[in-house]
Amino acid sequence: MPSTRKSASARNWLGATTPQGTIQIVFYVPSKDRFEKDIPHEKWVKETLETFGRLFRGATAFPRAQGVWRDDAHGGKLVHENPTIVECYVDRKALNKGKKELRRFLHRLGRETNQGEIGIVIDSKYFGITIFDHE
Amino acid sequence: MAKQLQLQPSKYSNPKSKAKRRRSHGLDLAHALGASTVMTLRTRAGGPHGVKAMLHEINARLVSRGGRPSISEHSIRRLIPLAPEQWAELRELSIALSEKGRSISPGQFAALLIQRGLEEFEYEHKSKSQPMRR
Repeated sequence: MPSTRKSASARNWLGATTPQGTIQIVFYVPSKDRFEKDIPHEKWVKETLETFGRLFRGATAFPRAQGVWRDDAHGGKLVHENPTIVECYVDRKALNKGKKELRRFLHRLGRETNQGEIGIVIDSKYFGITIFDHE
Repeated sequence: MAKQLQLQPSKYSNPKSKAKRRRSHGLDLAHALGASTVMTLRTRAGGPHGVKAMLHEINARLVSRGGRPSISEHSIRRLIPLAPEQWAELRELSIALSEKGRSISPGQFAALLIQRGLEEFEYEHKSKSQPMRR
């Protein structure tokens, strides 16, 4: 049975009325800029939640992760970072409708916090943005 | 009278068309978001542990991200042979990426594609013990 039929029957017995969100979006809110200076992280977590809530009906931020990355491009230097991971599920219509505003938000974050790259995962695909739109 | 059943082609009957649709949607999204890197992840995240594992995969496959420059210093230049149609495609795609006040040259775009290809190649071959022929 195709998955849409299975999920339609689940929607019926659950009595669900809102759209099914099956596309997972995972966004890592950075904690430092490209020169390893701290950025106003909590402010951007709040903005991310508000943007995703407005566009995709909701989002969840997990407690800050402790991460360390080996930067092979700079002699194997260990860089410590504490990103907050924001996750949500969205249906395809809402994603298509919200693409433009999502782009504006991601590029603004990259530009204003001086990032080398902004990364977002949508439906198990990682999209890296390195060139940010002008205002 | 027997009812004649008319079979409609199912969109699920051809797996390739579904994969093609996913690839096409990925490229559309990349263009819509202004992304210069697109990478299909192996990790399927669900919950906080899954998304952390996803983050680990991303960082293992990228040179660097976030607080560091995203690509290595492009400090050397080399001549790389290309077919005329390949250069035309690079130019066309860099123009498409260069709308709305952002600019990327065909050479910069080619460098990003080479970097991405190398990262994916290294990731897939890192477990092999045999040295690569040079």
